[in-house]
Amino acid sequence: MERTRIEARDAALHLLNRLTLGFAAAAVAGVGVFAAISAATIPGSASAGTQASTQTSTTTGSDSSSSTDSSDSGDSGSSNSVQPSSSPVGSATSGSGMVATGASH
Amino acid sequence: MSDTLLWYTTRGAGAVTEILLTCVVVLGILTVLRVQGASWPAFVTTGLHRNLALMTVVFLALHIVTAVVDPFTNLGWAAAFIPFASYYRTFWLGLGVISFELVLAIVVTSLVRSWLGHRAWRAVHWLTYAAWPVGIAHGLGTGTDTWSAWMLGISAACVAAVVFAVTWRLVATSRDPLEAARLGFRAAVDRRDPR
Repeated sequence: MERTRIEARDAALHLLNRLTLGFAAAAVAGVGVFAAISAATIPGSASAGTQASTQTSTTTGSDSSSSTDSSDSGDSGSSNSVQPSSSPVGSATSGSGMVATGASH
Repeated sequence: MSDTLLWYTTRGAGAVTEILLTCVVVLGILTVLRVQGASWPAFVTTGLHRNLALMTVVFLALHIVTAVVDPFTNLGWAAAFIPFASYYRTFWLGLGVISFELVLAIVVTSLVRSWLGHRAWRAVHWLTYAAWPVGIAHGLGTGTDTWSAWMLGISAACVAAVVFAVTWRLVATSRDPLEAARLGFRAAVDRRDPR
């Protein structure tokens, strides 16, 4: 009887360890998967800047900062530098830079 | 590390953190409900709840660090620790900071529970019911992917899971296995000493 209880407890402890490791592995993989999905949906590249701006302005139209950023990103699409105060989260950069929209972060 | 890679990592880590925090909340409620089975004793639920809580802190830290060090955002470390100190989406980002600090307080007090005492620990632990919705609100208010189908699905699933668990807790009867014995003992004591 006692041995059965000990074995059952050991089995449950092994289960707990396996579940913890499983969740950890899934979480690490999840960061990569969700990062890839988010990159595919809103890549933030200059070439997709118009699409992202349009998507942002239509989906977050109630947010004044995003509206402002959308227009700013369109105007400064060729700039490499982060614009100061007028745009809360910088601006669009050329090349691989991301479009600064209100929904960026 | 490229700016966009940091940005994608922030978004991915944010989604994972939301899922993990939801799992932690649900497991905490299942612990209270004493959900257990033949091959799933109560300590498995409790242990998984604790382990996932610590894991949540790790991925939450990843989410915050990648957002702050991203040279594109110019958020600064103050914005990560002082609520409403950010110039960017002050309110929604501030909610995220509040949720982070609540989670931190809950985890730290749980780690020092033996020194803190049960009442104080429990009082802080109840803040979980504030930390989770505030974190969800942060994601909905300032997440880049909030209105993407995949993120909407994740958020909806998280909300549904917690609502279901909370509802279950509110309507469930006591699962204390010794409740009948306690009531019987008290009745026996009352019979012997009706005063």
